[in-house]
Amino acid sequence: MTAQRKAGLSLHDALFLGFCGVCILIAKMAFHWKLHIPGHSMFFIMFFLLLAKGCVPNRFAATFTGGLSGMMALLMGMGSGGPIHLLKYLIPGLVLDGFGNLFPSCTWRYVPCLAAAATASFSKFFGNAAVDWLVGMELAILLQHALLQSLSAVAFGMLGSLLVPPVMHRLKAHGIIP
Amino acid sequence: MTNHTIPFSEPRIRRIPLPPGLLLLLCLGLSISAFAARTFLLVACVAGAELLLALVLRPGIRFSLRLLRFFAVQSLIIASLYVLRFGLEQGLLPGLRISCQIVLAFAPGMMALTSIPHSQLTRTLHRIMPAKAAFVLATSLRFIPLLQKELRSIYEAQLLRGARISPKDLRHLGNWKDFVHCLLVPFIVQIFKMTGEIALAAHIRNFDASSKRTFWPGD
Repeated sequence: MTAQRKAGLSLHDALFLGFCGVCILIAKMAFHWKLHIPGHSMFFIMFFLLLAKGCVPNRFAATFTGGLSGMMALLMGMGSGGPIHLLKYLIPGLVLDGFGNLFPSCTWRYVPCLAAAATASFSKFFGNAAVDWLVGMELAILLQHALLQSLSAVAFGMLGSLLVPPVMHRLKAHGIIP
Repeated sequence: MTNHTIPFSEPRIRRIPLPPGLLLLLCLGLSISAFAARTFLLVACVAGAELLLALVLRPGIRFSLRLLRFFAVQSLIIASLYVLRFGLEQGLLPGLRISCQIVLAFAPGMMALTSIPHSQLTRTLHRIMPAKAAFVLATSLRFIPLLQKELRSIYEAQLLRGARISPKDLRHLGNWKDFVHCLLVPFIVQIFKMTGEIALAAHIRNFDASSKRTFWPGD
């Protein structure tokens, strides 16, 4: 990713982000963990969103990746949310972009990376809470339900983010990223 | 790693009785109705309408099983929370109604996306997305089998070299270092190489040269 590309999203960068989106889906299918724990897919979502953010110098890199991944999941009939499933990928991407724009080195160090992943994974809480609120759930139960569903996502998201700094350093050592 | 094939083939139902855009709008309307239904009678009306849609689209047994599993999980969690807060008599029925609403809100979208062929759905997306995003989406989807093949060949080659990256090995946290260095990094380097080649090929064919994008006539 050369400095020349910082001006805008080149086709190479856009394709790389698209392929990161594909990798989220491939990883979900290839490893296909039979854990039946809600939120375990956040492991791969966080890893590839953070990787996209770290490798492509664009303000909306993670959002673009999340959006494309969500679209592809819809096209392939994956997930149990229908069109609402798109938000599962899009909102963490938006949060990561916000975090990454505030702390540009967040994909290179463990602590900021963990913080970014925790914040982005917790955004699942708001998506779940919004759905529960729309169907008219009691506030106290709504909070408990959304919290139950998002806590494991936070744990898996943080675990996934731990893989990002070593991969970034290796990619830099190979001369793939500046 | 398992040998799951990616569900990349066209859905079984090739022809749908409505245009995809209209069907998606209809599903959106049904989802909104499910969110708005606050009594059992209204929930039953929405369920009836969705059942009619299911009869028309015939999404298949696999879809029904997935929906049932989703309903079971949601009902268990939500009804339990309601029973814990309001007791069995006052909490069970509202908990079940809320679970029904959530499932009925999600079901139309799932049904539509399972039934509409990929080509028609991609064509519909082309109308609402920028040309570059649509190109990236279509290219990424087309390269899924190749990426999966690349991942598998790197995985098998590294296993032969003695890398501890099999599912059994990954139960030990210490082996995740091998997973990163032997599988993830080579795979990502391969992705960089592939995307560079695709971008170059597209530029050679004058991609982005004209503001008005043209398409091959499809099905």
